[in-house]
Amino acid sequence: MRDYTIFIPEYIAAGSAVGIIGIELFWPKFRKDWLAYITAIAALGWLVSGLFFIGKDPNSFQGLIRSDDFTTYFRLLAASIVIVVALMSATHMRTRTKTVAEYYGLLLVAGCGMVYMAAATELLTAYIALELLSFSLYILVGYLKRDNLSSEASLKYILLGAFSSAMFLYGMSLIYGVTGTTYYEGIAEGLTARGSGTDPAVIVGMMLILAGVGFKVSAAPFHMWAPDAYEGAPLPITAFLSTASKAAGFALILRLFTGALIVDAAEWRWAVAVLAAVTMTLGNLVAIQQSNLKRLVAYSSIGQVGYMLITIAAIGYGDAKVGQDASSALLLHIAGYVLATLALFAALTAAYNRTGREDIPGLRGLAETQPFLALVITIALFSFAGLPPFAGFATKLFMFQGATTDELLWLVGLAVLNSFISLYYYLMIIRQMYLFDPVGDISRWKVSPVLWCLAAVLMVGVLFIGVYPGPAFELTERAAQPLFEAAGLGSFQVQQP
Amino acid sequence: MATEVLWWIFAAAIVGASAGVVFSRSVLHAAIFLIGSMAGVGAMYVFLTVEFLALVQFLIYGGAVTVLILLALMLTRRDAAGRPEPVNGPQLPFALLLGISLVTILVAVALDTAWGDSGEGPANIAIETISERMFTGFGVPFVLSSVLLLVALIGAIILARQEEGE
Repeated sequence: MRDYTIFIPEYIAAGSAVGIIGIELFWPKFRKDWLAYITAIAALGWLVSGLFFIGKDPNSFQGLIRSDDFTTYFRLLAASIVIVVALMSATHMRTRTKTVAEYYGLLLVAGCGMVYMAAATELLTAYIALELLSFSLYILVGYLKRDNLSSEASLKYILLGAFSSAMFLYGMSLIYGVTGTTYYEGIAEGLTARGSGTDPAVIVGMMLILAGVGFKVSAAPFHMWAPDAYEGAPLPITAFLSTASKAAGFALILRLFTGALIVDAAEWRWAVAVLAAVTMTLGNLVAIQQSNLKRLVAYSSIGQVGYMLITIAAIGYGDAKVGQDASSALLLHIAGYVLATLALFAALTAAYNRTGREDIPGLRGLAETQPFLALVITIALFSFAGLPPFAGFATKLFMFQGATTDELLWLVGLAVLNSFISLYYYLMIIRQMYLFDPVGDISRWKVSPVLWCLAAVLMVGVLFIGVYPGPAFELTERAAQPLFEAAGLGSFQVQQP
Repeated sequence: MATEVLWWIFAAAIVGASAGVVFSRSVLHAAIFLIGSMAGVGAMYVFLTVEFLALVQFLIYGGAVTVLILLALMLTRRDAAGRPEPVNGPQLPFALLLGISLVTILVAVALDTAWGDSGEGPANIAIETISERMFTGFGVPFVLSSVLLLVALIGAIILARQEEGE
């Protein structure tokens, strides 16, 4: 029985995308910022339709797409990110391009790609969903055609993205060659049935898949595209890159590694642990030397990916109970990270709209000229660093707690050390804002009401998760539950917080 | 026996043509080598008696895609004659090392793995079976890939579109 109702939320999103492109096609004089608000409303509709799926029985569409709480979690996340990014873009993109309809359309389609990366339980579907997100991002990164930096970023992203896709596909083909199927469940069965002695093809296939998705989430040493793409992209797209594409990458990793490759966890878990260690150290150390804000955020987000990868390694080392705890903590951390990143970028966009500068000294004296933005940026950065009482503290605590197994203590220790390193460069930004006098015009200026409200709401969200993580934790725990039920790893009681 | 000899001849031809794509100093020549490589893979499909795939490979990859590449090269480059260009950069030794080790690993993997074998040789698969698998069993990826193509199309239009002031 094919149940098409599980696609309704994406019908709404993709349909609105086509509609939005159509509006500008037939009505070129349509106001560009209104298109942004229409996009936000469409994404809101998408979000609301996604709410109906909470708590519904898991439903699989021909073994290809699974609709469960995990999918719903990422659907709500994708819709929320699209809403925020669309609102952020309204004034930012208005003056910078002649046509913006495709920009907003692709934003919605990219969100759909993210949802299906989380929902796919079959390799081909997962791959095509991944490409759907990547293709949209290639175009969005290079959307400012007259800006050479934007075009360069897009080209680099396309080339390295194609390279990583090829690796992912090669890995897929090796796994398919051994197990004879592309369904996650079938792969898990096929790998179990082979008993002792893992084939070299499986190991190499897993490594190639890991490298392919490592590229997508920009884990070191596959991170080379990230700083350039972040720097060249329009500011709201940088926000989208550092939230949606990373969250989607981890959604795919979680589904694939818990659903299919968990059987041979011994073969990949050490590689993930090494990847995590290299990623967080390199990201944080290189971030110290950056003078461009976007590049700094790029490296800091690479560091964050390193922390998140710890949980994936923990899933490999621990039993189902550890895996459940680690993945629900990862989902919570992603939520906190997304909130803080979007808050940071909402504030940076507002500052950029005013000053037109994206280097760190451009924020000089912001506490004097626009104290609210300085506060939002400070809270977002403290949340990244993991200081209480902001979201980053609570979510990192849960994450490291969930991921602590005997084998991974060193990694958690390294992560804590790295958090201190990151505090240094976050404080450098805060120092510019609070300890220096503004240059040039020192009069106070006003933030546009949309960006003000956006930044305020996101800031409250960061504080809320930091102070009272209970409800969010329950939500992510429910979202992580289907991962381990689907894998058939026995029935264990889910721990209540 | 005869098929086996032919198979090896074609395999060598594919490798040779692919090497030509990488090493030829003119982009144009590389594109023409690419046709040879793609067509060779098509011939491989004939040996495997999957004729539909062979047809698709010849028509789409050997024909349409490479012709498109050639046309794009001729339209966008000032000298279509195919003047040689430098292909080696300072990263040559690293690339060589990485490439050779990757090839070694993959060959070792291919030889050392007990591949999943369904027990029967490849049979000629009817087109009806393929279409049924594609449109019912794999309907979702099919629809997703059509959205993907739409996105690629929109992207191409955005890149190619001339804006005022350009």
